[in-house]
Amino acid sequence: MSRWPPLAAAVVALTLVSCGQVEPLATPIPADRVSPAGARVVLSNAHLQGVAAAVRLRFGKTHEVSVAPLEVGEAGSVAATTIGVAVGPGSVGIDADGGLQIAVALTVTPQPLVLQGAGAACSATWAASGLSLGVDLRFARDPLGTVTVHLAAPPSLQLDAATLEDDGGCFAAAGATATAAILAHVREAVRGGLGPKLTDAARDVVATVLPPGWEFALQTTSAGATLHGDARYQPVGASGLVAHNGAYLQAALDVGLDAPRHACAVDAAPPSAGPWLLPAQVPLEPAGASVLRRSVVLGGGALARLGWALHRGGWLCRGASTGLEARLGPDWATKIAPSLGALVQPGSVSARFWPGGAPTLRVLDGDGAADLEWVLPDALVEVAAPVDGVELAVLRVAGSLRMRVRLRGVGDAWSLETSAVELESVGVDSPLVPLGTVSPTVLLPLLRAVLGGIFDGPLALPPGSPALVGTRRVGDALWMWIDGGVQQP
Amino acid sequence: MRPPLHRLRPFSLLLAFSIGALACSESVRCEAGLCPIGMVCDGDTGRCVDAPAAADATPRLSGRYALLGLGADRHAIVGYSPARRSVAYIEHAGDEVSVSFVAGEATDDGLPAGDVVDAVADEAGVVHVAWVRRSDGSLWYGRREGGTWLRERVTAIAPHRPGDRLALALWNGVPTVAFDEIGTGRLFSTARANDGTWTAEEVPLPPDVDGKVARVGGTLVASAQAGSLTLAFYEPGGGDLVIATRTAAWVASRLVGRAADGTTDAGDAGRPCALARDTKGGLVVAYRDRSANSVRLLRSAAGAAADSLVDDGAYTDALTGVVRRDLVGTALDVVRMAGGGLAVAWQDASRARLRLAVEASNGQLQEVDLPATNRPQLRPRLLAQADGSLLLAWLELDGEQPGGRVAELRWTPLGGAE
Repeated sequence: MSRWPPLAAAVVALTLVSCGQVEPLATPIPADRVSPAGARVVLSNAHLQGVAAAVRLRFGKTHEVSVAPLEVGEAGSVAATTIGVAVGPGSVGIDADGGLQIAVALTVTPQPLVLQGAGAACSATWAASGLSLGVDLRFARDPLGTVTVHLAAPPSLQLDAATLEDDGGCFAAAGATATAAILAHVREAVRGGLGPKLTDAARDVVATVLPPGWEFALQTTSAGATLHGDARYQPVGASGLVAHNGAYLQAALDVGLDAPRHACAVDAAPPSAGPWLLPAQVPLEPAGASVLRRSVVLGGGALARLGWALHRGGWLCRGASTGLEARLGPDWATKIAPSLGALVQPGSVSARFWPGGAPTLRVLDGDGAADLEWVLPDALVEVAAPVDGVELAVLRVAGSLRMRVRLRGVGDAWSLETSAVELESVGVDSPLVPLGTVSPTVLLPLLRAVLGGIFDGPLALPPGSPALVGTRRVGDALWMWIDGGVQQP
Repeated sequence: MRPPLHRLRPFSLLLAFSIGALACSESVRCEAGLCPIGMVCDGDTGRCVDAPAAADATPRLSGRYALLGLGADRHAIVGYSPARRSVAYIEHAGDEVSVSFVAGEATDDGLPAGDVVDAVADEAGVVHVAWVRRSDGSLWYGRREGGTWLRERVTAIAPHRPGDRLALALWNGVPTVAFDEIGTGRLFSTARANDGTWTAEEVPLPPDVDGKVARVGGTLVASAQAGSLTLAFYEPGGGDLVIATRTAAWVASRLVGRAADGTTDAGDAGRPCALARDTKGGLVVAYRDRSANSVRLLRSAAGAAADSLVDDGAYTDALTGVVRRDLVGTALDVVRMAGGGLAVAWQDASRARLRLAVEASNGQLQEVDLPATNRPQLRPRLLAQADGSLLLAWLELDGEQPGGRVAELRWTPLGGAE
């Protein structure tokens, strides 16, 4: 089974779709089916400091730096040695071009340097203060159009002072020039030894927060259902892809969604999805400490098109054949009608769902989280169960349904949960017995169980995927906060 | 709740067939004389209803039952009557219907009955019945001779106890019973020699890709012809249709589903399944593909198996105009008619109705419109008549009474004798 890239997985998480066969998209999605800045990644200033902390963790808290031998003229040579380096807090800065300056403080253990000359060896102690190692990253598109995280300049090592404490006069004969060379040699050893590692760590973290792989053009198919999707970072300025407004950093993605029409779907035009704005401040985020937190925001227009595309591609024409008995509980058929209960035997229950029109999808305030509301017109829900040993449809509910689905995160697993079902105009019947009027107090829990059995469940995400820690509605947009996801070395 | 069907599938429109007794359909009002046996056309509703004089004197049946041809316009139905707690035998001779009981509380001696029943008739019209009494795991065999039932318990299977699946066939004239073992799902076969002794053997089953040996679940059916006995069953472990054939020895393989090498998995197939033979003795298997929600037909063709779609349940919803699919194939049967063509009957589980397709001269299956009755229908069984006609039987649910009443319909192709 193919895996979705991270953003696609996030989209899928909202779409009630399990992973299917994923292939490159042969042709671009038409412009009129692309939601401008349909998805955005947002990092508050606090989140940015989390980026620094993540870089420090990824980089490592201690290092041993090797210092190569150095010839210092006639005085001899400084012997090879290693220097212990402790990594302190990190920091992140943003420049006007969207460049990310990530730095970590370093503390070095004073290190004896041994001078080996014509006479007996002697030593002096090297020490430095106020060290910090930094990288300047650019998140941009290269000339070939590929999104990259690259270094704007070589890693830099800043320090307040470096000294060679030579109380015994060991290096005195070498002279001031040699001493300066020794200091530069050691400094370069630290920079050269740790700079590439910090670069790798910073790039990994930045690529986790703003993955280049979130630009994709894919189609997925499963059981006859198809979905076309693409996403592309919007450019900011001349070459950057991120911007900072003083309160948060953001990157925006244009999201295209389309599907060849499935026979079970109506041929409806896509809903409109125009430009939309983020609020001036990042909304209150879920409680809890995190190392690397960011928000992924889906605009209402993109969500509406998501519902439209899923319906058009046939993803909502679904069924379930396992686990429904436990959801329904005992005597569920008798609760509908005693005459139906007399016919239905214990055993496997299955259900099918057929939408009759394009759904309306919007974000609602839930209980401490956001819910996705699906309004499904002219739908049909069919429940089948054993009757005299034969699997038969025993209940059919037709009409317009309003279903609330919540996206939940438990650890690094994401799952969907149907939290409520409402009926707008429905008819209930059975091919087996006349039912009469079925009370909503009986029907609604049953439908919730059935639809939950069809649409709920864990989402197949790659190992090490970030954890979903909370959702919230802001305007008509869905905010999702996710933590972690940095691959450990 | 829903309007009549408007299905996107080829209907039986060929003039090559006379719909005969089947002119009454869901979209066509019935006509007098064209309803199932024991029913009449209600001119007000246009539906077939019980004939006023047709009291429900025949036992209602539950579970699997057998439809047997006895020759000379005679046929019989054998199944379990939950109301009488007995194995019932219902014989039709022309318009006459007679009922007797093979075993159970309705018999004089109260011989133990069971609700797992299968039956077969030999060329002389002798009916053989096998049943399982699940309460004590006993297997029983009965044979009707001269209007009397000769019955015996099959003790040769000890220590193995039958489960919920049973299939009876006459292999080279010898009654042979296949059954699954309760608790293990192992498959056994036991045969009655001419001297009345029974022998039993285990049918070796194929392992799956994980090395797990198959077990019997869902359906178990049998078909015998000279030289070979074939069993077909659903294997729940892999969700596969498995065939086991006995000639000199048993050979079993997964026919549809996951291949032994694990490279392919056609999904969940084979529950239920039914067997028939084509005119050349080749095996024909009708089965349900649960994953794809379809009824399929597998038959031998030029040394290879040809798998074709019979029905996927698709229809166009009149309200929305979109294509939806009924749940189909949860019960089914297949038979070769006297003229050589195949007939397949299957359950439309979404409507509690039956569907029937017959093979046209061009080899294509053409669906036949069946008349609507006023009760839910299930468990179709087919019987090919020597005169070329086809007998379709089913059970009809009627309120909360246990089991269903047996209903029948005779279908005659154009040119066939009535």
